Amino acid sequence: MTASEPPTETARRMRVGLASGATAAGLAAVLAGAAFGLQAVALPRPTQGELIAAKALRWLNRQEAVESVAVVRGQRVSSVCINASVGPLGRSRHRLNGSLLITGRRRLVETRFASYRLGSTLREQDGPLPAIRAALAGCPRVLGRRIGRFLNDRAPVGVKRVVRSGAQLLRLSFRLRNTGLLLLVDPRTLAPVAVRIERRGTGWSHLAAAARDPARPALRFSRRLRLAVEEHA
Amino acid sequence: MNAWLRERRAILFAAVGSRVLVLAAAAAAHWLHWPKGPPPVHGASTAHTLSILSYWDGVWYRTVADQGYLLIPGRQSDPAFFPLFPIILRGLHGLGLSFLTTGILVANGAFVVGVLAFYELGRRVVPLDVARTSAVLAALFPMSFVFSMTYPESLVLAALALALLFALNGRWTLSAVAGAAGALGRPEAMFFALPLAAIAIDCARASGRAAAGRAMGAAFAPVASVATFPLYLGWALHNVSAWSGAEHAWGRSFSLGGIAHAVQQLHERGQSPWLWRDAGFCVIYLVLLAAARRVGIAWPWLLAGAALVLLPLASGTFLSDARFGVLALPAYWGAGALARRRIVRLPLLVVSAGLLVAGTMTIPLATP
Repeated sequence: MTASEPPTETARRMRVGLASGATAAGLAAVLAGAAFGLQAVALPRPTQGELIAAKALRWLNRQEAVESVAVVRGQRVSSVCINASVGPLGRSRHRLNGSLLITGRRRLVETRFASYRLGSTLREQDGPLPAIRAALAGCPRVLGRRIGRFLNDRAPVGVKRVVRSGAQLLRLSFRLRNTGLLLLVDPRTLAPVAVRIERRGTGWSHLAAAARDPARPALRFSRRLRLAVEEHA
Repeated sequence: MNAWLRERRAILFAAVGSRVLVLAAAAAAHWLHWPKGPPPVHGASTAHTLSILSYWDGVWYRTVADQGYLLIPGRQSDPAFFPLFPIILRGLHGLGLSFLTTGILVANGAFVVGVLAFYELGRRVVPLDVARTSAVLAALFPMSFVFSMTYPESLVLAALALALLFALNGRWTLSAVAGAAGALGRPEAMFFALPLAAIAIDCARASGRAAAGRAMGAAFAPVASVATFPLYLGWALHNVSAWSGAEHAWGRSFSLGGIAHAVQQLHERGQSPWLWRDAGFCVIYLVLLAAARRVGIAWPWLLAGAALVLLPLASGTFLSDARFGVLALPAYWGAGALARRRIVRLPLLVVSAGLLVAGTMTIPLATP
C-alpha cells in the first residue's frame, strides 16, 4: 500500500485477500473433513479388547523388572525377572536383548532364540518350558512378545469385568489355534496384575512392577557371566 | 477420440507393455521357483502365480484393508501405512474379488492412468519430445516394478500427476481432490504442495485474485489430507501419535545425523548388500533431478523431488530409497532430457527393461 492509494482501494484489497484466504482454508478443510470421514467410514476399528491389550503391552514395555508370585504344587514361588542383554553367544556376534529370571537360587536367561540355565556357565535349555516360565513370571520382554504375537495375528481378544479379592479387574483372554493366554489387568492403569497360560494347566501368576536393586544377592554373578549377561541399567 | 489415442499410442504401449513384462516376470519367478529367497513375511500367500507382487508391505496393506489399524507398542505394526490403498482394496474386496486380485488390478490400472497423466503433465512443462521420452522411461524405469505390487505407489503417481495437471489447467477443485487423495496414499505426496503453491502463485499473479483462494486451497489440500491420518488414528486407536510410534518401531525416526548414519550403515558388517541398490538409485535420482534443471524445470518441482529422495535418509538408512524415489516426477524429465538422442535412448530403454525384469524377479530377496 502506498500513501497515495485511496482508503476504499485498501479496503477492497483486504476484502479480496480475506475472501481468498477463507476460500483456501475452506477448500482444504472440506477435503480434510472428507478424508477423515472416508477413513472413519471405510476402515474397521479395533475392538475394545485389542485396545486394552495394546495398552497393557505398553505398560509392560516400560518395565525393566517385574516380580511375580505363583502357587506351584501348593507352594508359593516368588520370582523376579529383569531385562538384560546377553551375548555374544554361539555364532551370534551381537548382544541380544533378553530376560534374566531369578526364582530362589535358580537363574534362567531367556532370549528370542534360546533359553539358558545359569550356573557356573550358561547351559542351553531345550523345549518350550523355560519360555513359558518366563512368560508366567511376567518377564516384560517375554510376556510382551507373547501378547504382541496375538495382536499381530489379530487373534480375538475377549474382555470381561471380574472381581478378585474384592478388586475390580479386567480379564483379557487371547486365543489363537491351540494357544491361549489369560491376563488380568488393572482397569485404571491397564497394568497386568496376573497372567495364566491356558492349556498348560498352570494357575494364575500374580505380577507387580519391581524396583531394580543391583545389590540383590541373586544378581551377583561371576566375572565371566557378567560378561555374558548384563542387566539393563 | 481416435486422434487423441493415436497421439498417445506409444505412451500407452509403453505403460501396458511394461506391466505385461512385470507380470510375466513375476509369474516366471513363481513357476521356476527362482530365486529362492528367505521365507516371505508372515501372512504373505505363496500360492498364487503373482504372489510375489503382494510380498513385503503388501501384507500390511492387506491387513489394514481386512481388519483396520492397530498399534502394537514396541513392535512393527500397521499404523505406519497410509490408508488410501487399503480403503480401495476393502471397497473392491466387498464386490467379491480377493485382496491379491484387487491389489494387482488397482496398482496396474492406476499405473497406466498415471503414466498417461504424467505424459500430459510433461507436455505442459517440457518440450514434447522430452515429455514423450520421459513417460516411456517412467514406464520402463528399473524400479517401476513397485507400481505393479500391491502398494499405493501407482495410485499416488496418478493422483500427483493429475493434481499438477489440473492445477496447470486452472481446475483447482479437481487439483485439490487429486492432491488430497495422493497424500492419503503416501505422506511424501505432501512435498508436491510446493509446485502446487508455485503454480497457484503464478496463476494469482496472472489472473488477479479471483482464483487465488481455490488455487491456494489446492496447494494446502495435500498437507491437510496428511494431517487427517494422525487425527483418524487418534479417534480410532485413542492415540494421535500412533503413526510416529509405528514409524519408530520400523526404524523410521528422523534425526539430524541420519544421513551420516545412513552412509555409515552401508559399510557396517552384516548389512544387506541390497542397501547398495537403494543408495545407487538415490544417486541416480539426484543426477536426474540435476538434469531436469537443464530442461527448465522450476525449483519448487526439483525441491519436491529432492525432498522425496533425501528426507527418508534422515531416518539413518538408505533402505527403500529406491522405491521412495519413483514418485520424484521431475527425475523422469531429467532422464528424458538425457535420452533425447536416439543413440542414447534405445540402449537406455533396453537396459531399463532388462533391469525391470531382474528387479521383479528378485522381489523375494529384498524389500523394495
